[in-house]
Amino acid sequence: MMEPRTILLVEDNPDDEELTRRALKEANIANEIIVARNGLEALDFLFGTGAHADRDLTRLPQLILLDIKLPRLNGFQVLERLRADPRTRLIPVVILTGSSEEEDVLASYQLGANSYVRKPVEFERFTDVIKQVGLYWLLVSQAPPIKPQEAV
Amino acid sequence: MIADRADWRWPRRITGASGVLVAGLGVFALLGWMLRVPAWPSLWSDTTPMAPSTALLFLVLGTAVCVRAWLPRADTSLRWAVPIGVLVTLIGLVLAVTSSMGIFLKVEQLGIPILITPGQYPLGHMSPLTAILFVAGGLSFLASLRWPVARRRLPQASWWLACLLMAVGLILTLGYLIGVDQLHGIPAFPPAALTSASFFLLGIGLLCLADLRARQVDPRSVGRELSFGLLLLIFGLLAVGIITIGTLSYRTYEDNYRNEVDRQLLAVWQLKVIELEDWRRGWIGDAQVLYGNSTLSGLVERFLEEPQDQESRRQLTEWLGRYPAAYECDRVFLIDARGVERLSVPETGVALAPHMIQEAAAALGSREIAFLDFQRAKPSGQVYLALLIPVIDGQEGSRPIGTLILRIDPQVYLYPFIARWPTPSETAETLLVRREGEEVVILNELRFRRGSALNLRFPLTQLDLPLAAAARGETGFMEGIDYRGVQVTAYVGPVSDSPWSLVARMDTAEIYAPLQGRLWQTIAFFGLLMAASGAGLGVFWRQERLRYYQSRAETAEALRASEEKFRKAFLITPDAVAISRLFDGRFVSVNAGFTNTLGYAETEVAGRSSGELGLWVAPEARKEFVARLLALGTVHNFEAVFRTKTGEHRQGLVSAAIIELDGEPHILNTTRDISERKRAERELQVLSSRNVAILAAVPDIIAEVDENKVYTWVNRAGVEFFGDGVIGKEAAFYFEGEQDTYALVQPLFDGMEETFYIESWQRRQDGENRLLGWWCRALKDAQGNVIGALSTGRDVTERDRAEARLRESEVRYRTLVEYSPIAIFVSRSDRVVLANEVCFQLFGAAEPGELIGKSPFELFHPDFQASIRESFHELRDHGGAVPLKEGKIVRVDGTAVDVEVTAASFQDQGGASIHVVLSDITERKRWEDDLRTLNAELELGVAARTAQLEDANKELEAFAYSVSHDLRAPLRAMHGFSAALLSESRDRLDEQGRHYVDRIGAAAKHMGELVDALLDLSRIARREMGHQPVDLSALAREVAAELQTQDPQRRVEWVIADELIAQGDANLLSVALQNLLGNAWKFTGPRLQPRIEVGTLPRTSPASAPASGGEEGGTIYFVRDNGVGFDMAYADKLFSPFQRLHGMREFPGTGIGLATVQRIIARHGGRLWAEAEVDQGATFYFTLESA
Repeated sequence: MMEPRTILLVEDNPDDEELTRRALKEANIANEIIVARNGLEALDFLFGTGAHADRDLTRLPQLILLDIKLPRLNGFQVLERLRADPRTRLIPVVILTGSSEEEDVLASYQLGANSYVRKPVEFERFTDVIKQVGLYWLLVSQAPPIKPQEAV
Repeated sequence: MIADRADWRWPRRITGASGVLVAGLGVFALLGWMLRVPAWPSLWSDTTPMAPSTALLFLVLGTAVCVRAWLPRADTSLRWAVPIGVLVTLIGLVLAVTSSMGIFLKVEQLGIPILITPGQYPLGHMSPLTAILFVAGGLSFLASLRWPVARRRLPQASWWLACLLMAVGLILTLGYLIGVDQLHGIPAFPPAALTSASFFLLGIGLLCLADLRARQVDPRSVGRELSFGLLLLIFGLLAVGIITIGTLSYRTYEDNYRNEVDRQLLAVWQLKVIELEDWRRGWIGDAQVLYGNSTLSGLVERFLEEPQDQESRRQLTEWLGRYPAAYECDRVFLIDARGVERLSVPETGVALAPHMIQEAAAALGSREIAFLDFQRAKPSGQVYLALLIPVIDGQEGSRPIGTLILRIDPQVYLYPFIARWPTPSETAETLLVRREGEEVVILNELRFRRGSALNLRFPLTQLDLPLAAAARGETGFMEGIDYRGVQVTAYVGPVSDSPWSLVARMDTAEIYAPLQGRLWQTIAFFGLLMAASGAGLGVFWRQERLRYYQSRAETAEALRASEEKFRKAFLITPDAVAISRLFDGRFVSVNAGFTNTLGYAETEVAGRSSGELGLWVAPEARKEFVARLLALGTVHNFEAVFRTKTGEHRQGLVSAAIIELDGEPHILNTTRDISERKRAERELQVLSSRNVAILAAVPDIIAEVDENKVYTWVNRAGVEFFGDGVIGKEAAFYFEGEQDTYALVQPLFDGMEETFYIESWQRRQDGENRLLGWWCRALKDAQGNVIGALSTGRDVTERDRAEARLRESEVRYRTLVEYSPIAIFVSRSDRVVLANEVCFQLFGAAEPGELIGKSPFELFHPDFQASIRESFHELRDHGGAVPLKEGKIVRVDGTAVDVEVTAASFQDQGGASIHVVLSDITERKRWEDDLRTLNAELELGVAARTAQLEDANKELEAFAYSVSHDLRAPLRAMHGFSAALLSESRDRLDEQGRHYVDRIGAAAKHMGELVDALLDLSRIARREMGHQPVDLSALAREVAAELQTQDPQRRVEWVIADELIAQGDANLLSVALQNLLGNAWKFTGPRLQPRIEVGTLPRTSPASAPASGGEEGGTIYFVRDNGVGFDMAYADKLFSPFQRLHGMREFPGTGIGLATVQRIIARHGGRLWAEAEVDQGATFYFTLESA
């Protein structure tokens, strides 16, 4: 069995980050979690630029959990860039946000998000949501066949 | 005065009760004799019974006493009581004489056979003491009778005799209670126990009778002295106490003494039995020594085989000779196997009795030692006992050789020992007895009978014989008679290992001899004690009586003095006083007032009744009077009409009382002649009622004051004005604040003025000040001094006010017209008669003449003159007012001015006038132009504001956006970490800590909900509105279905009207319905039959919409539930965000829902309101854009 691939969590709030980690752990999702604290860092990680210039780009995350409101580049901008790049175009992106604004939902899907999930305040429900998202995108859903060499 | 007094009741009751008891005991004894039940007259004891003659006398006397107590009328009769008393006394006398002389008359037994076996006393006969007591009783009874001549000494004698009876009876009863045996020591034979008790009771009854009689002789003594019954009761209690104590003390002594005697008897018995047993054992031991002795048997054998052998004879004689010498054994015999007496020591020549030889042979045959009990030797008649010892051959060990007989003489030791008694006693002794067949034989010599040993025999069956009981084998104390037939007390019991029984006994008489003395001591002591207490009480009673008689003497003196006083009053009073007998109404005495008033001379009246004289005009009035008098004892101020001798009628006021004169009830009445007074009263009544009517009917106040201006009288109107407390008040009190006016009346009181009119404000009782107009007139006495004033006052406030109002109205009107900023003129008969300053200015007139006196029509522009004229004439003819009209006037200088005209007609003295009001509207016309310009400018302003509003809206959106993203994150963190804390550090938290963490989580969660709700609310404002037909019915059903899905357990009755089609935004309206129906769902939760309705109000209904609700004309939708409702007082808070009318615990929620609905409805241009009542459900109404 192949080594489980990573999850990229784009989240500027350390509380949310920790809660998300906890939730994933409680859901027994053992994939490595890489955290990007803002949009730019996320893009740097994905494309191997800036601080991640020497990263092994063959390893792309299996799932990106993306917040909308982020410092520097916001979630929409990140999504737009991801979808514009052939290397990352197919990576499943789940928008994970506090907002339930209609326009946010609309914008997310228009920009090619795979899913829009609102983070509930209650931890039990939050855990539940994260668990379901994790299970679905990591286990149930067939991942797109991404070949790293192709990407290079 | 026959009636029983209350304090006589007790002596009567006691008398009755004791009489019945005595008679009852007599009957009881007689019945006992006649029915041959001897236990009755002797009261189940072995004492003397009550003789039949005694019983009969008790029956007679008891009945007589009881009849006198219960039938007071019988008490007055001597006819039957005297013979009874005399009879009882005489019989008592005769029997006392005969009985004490020892002559017993057969007739006494009344022919009843006396069944009791005669004993010590002659039964069925009266004891001499009884007879004497009957004499005392009969005399007491006679003395207590109501003899024609009342003497105080008689009841006293009766009383003392009864006391004697009671005391003797009591003492005798006491004696019986203590023990009748000991009473036998008195000389004459005593009265029976029943007789003694009966005498005691009879004494009580007679004592009470005597007391009653004493009271009758001196009736006024009643109630003054200590109740005799009470004294008697005290004495009875004392007596019972003394008797009880005496009895107990004697009984205790007796018991102790008896125990002592019994102990002594037992001790003697035991001593003797032990010694007897020792004695027997000693003999048998000696016999055994001889029995087993082989030397003796060898010696005996040798002696028997060789009788000639002197040596063996000598040795044997020597051996056996020791016994008679040392012991009480008088002779020893040797009998050989053939039964021949071979040897006797000492040798007396008297042969052994043949039966002894037989016994010896039997002993030899059985080879056992035998003890031969007491028996009388045949020839000598002496009593012996004997020991028979078989002699057995020493070598062979089995061959009987002969028998040794040791003969014992009881006279030597046994009899003296038995006869001995360790203490000195005259009668005590011990008896040794033996049973022989069915008889008991006395074995020893007795103290009181010689030669009794083995000669005296009694049958075993004689039960009262302690000897027999001993022989029967009984053990213990017993009483009975001994061989002499004397009463004894004994202890009996068998002597072990023997056929004997031992009796230790003593004469009962000897035992009780010391007790007898003690008894008499006790009786004497307690008898003295009782006598002393009785005497003490008696002295006390006499003392009481003495005191009473003294006080009576004093009251008698006081009575005489008062009688004298009243006699004088009787004679000199002017009222008619009469004393008549109650019984027949005949006058006994009348006074001078009586003869004067009624015109009869005293001699004409005396001995006649008022009925005969016809004094009462109305006989039924007299009947009523007498009835009241009899019922109440006194009558006060009874009004009646009397007829005088001349037939004249007089009105009288009668008072009367029943008095007792010479022991007979009389009526004392006094009559006052009130005829004159009545007539005067009547006249005054007529006069005064007329005046009263006049004074009451006058609406004006009429008041009288004295010279100090104090009200002495006012009429009804005055009281109504000033109040009840007016009389006695100074007039100044009511002139508050009007001192000046008040001072004006002074000349009247100084005598300067006769009459006077003033007006002054005065305080009415309700506190209001009224203007009164007063006419005052001085009141003078005969000398012409002013003694007060009489005033009539009229309330002129209304008149005054009316005048003032008229004046005010005129001034007001004139001022109004003159200073009005509007031009006004008045036209009368088509001429201007008045115009105000403004009017002059309007027309530019300088002189009054330029307007006044002119035709009003000419003032107007010619274009309007015709219509103005028409209007004015219309007004003049029909009144009313002309509505506002535009017109033009022409100024003096000829210029035209735009005006508005109104006119109104009114009537005044000069006929119809027309008021015309002109307002210059030149200015207004100019304003209207300005307004149009302004409006145009405003449009521009609005556009600018709208742009600003849009900016603000954008800002709001940005804010909401930021809230949406950022505000929830910290809440999530709070909730998340508190959950983490709970899950990971649960053990390190205590209960309290866990609770706090839970609370943090819950708060964060609620905050999240609030934020969401706020966002929803803001979204509604920000949202683009659609405008299309919306099916509210369908929406409502969807919402209902959803609610049902969320809570499938609940059953709610939904009533959703069909085809509720509205114009608006479907999404927003759906949200509105979600909230409204959600609330309805929530608040009907506690209902058993929840019901939610959605519908519209009919257009014509008097819509429950408040204020302008109905005017909008749009459809009114409603959502109605039967839930918990709310208080309408808080309805205004309902639609503000975060306002909640229910507790979070009862109904959770954010408080945003209705605010959201309000927004939505507002955005639709409609209105939302609610109607509710606590616990009665709520209805929410809304309209949408009316378009």
